[in-house]
Amino acid sequence: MPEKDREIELIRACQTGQNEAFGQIYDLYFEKIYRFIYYKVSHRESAEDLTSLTFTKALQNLKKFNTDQGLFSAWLYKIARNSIIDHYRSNAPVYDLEASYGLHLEENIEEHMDQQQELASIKEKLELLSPEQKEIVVMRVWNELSYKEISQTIGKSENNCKVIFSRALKQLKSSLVVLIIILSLLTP
Amino acid sequence: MENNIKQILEDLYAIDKDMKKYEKELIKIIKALIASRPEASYDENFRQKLRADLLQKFSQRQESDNNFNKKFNFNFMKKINYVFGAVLLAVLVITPLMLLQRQSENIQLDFSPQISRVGANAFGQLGITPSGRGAAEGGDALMSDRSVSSETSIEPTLPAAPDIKGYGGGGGTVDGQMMILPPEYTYYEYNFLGEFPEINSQLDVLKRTKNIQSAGLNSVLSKVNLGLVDLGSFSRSEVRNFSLVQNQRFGYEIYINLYDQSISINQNWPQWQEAFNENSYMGMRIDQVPADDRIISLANKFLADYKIDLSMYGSGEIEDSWRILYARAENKSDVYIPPSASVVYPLIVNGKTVYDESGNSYGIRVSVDFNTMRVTGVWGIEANKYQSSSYAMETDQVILEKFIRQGGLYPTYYDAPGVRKETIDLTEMQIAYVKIWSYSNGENNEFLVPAIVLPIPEESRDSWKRNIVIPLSKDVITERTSYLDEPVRIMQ
Repeated sequence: MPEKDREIELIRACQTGQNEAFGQIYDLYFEKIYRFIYYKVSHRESAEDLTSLTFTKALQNLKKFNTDQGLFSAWLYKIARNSIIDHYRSNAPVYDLEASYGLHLEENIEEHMDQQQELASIKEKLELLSPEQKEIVVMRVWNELSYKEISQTIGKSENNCKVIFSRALKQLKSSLVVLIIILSLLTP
Repeated sequence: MENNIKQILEDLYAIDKDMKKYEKELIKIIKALIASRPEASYDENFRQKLRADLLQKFSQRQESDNNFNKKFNFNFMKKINYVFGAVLLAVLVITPLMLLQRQSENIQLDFSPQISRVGANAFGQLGITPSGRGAAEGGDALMSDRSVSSETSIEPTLPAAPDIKGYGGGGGTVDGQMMILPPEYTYYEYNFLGEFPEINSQLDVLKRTKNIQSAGLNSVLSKVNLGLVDLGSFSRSEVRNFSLVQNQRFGYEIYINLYDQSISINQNWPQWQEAFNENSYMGMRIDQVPADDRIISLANKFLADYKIDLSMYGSGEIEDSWRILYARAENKSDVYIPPSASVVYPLIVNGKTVYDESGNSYGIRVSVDFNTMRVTGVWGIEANKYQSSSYAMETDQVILEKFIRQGGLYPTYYDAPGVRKETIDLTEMQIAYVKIWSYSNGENNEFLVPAIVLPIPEESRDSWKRNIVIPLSKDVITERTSYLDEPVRIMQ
């Protein structure tokens, strides 16, 4: 059975009250949703709170989801995205660079300081993009979402998303020299 | 990664063919972007806990879709709702702003029974770790109940149980490897004469689910500034427990643990002490002991008065093992007759009675004091919310008969000089549940594991052990017996 059909079967099973199916949906999406949120908030505790909130909202509204009217993944990402927006509206953004790069105190701090600076430099380039461009680049490259998923998540047409992504890369290309230097530093 | 880059490029060229001229640069950019992706590792404990919480909420939604309008829902203890409500109201009074904000919101504390099914082996390896062992077999977890039982006080005068190591017999062991036998030690061997019931190779194990049910309370209390400390400044804090105290003669202290979803009721001692003196704890004469019916009737009335839900519990039964000693004693006055009794209402889940590993019924325990003829405490009131998962069971009768012979999973000792040996015939066997605790990831997990239970005839009981209980789960048997493969040596 194709993966998508299996997923639809699980969603319908959830909608009829089979909690085991919900467990399987959770297993399929936990990591994707957690990462999606983490890339936006860069803070472990906030990511946990928002992941919890996303799945709780999904659980509460699962019966309303129509499998004929869109991708379940996009529906879930949209819930996560809205939760993050609400989070930023009600809280000061928290940025935890150390947590963001998974650094551990027991590791070589100096080595990581260099790497951290290099990665921060790339993030600086990303910051030059518009929020819309940045969001789509992150969703496409870091989250590996399809354009269909991105378009349904953020409410823009697929083609529009592709154009925005393309323009973002052109913009980044103008900083290519800097990026090549950074990349050479990153390559062992 | 290569496939992802290739796909990204194809999408780009579909939009703008000219970009293909910069393919090398684009690949570098995309690689750099991918390399800059932060590591977003998650805490596996968090993942598992959230999963369990969500599955529980999912099951609750199925049952309570039409039940959202209740302000409070301590299903098994409705009368205490009012007391609890009063305390909550007081909190709201000192936070008038919150009162206004929350007037339209519901706070639902749902302790109602529930069993939700999850996949096979969903709880990982069953069994009990050494650190959890004490709690399960004589340590904190059981002692919280045991400590209130009058039976505890007479244990030192009893002969040691055959499986003393297994049940936390305390001073029996010297260094964990040797034990000193009490005088006139009797080794009991059990001989099952009946027929085994059919045991399926896969049976459901239930795990008691626990989670914070206090979202509404958290929200209220987080905005309370007591003047001494601003509770709201403690981020991610949650209400885990609270207690209520009745300030009146013979009043009670009610302790509510929201995390564990359990409630216990104790004497508010200052309000009781005038009724007690040093003679109150002296042993009683047999003619002073109230009839069982009267004791049970008192306990029943208390539970009914406070609307403690007994829908998942059997009828009350008195734990009075002292009577066996009394009946056997040549000099009756040597036997300590406690001035109180415990009435136990055994938990019944899926039609099966739940036992502890010592062979006693597990459930709500009510203590009745003979001096005042009042209930002095109730323990074991807890939300019966479980997840159910299929696990492999031991069906080999040869293995099970070996455990029956020795009275449980643990090897016993009979080769020392002076040990008297008795064989007890058993004729009945049923499949029930045994409650076990397992400590892992910093949490004490509670399981109901299918078990065979063999009642020991009253005339043959070694004073306190009513049933032989043998868990059927292969995980539990393997784990429990792996470090008990040799009997403890007898210190001469």
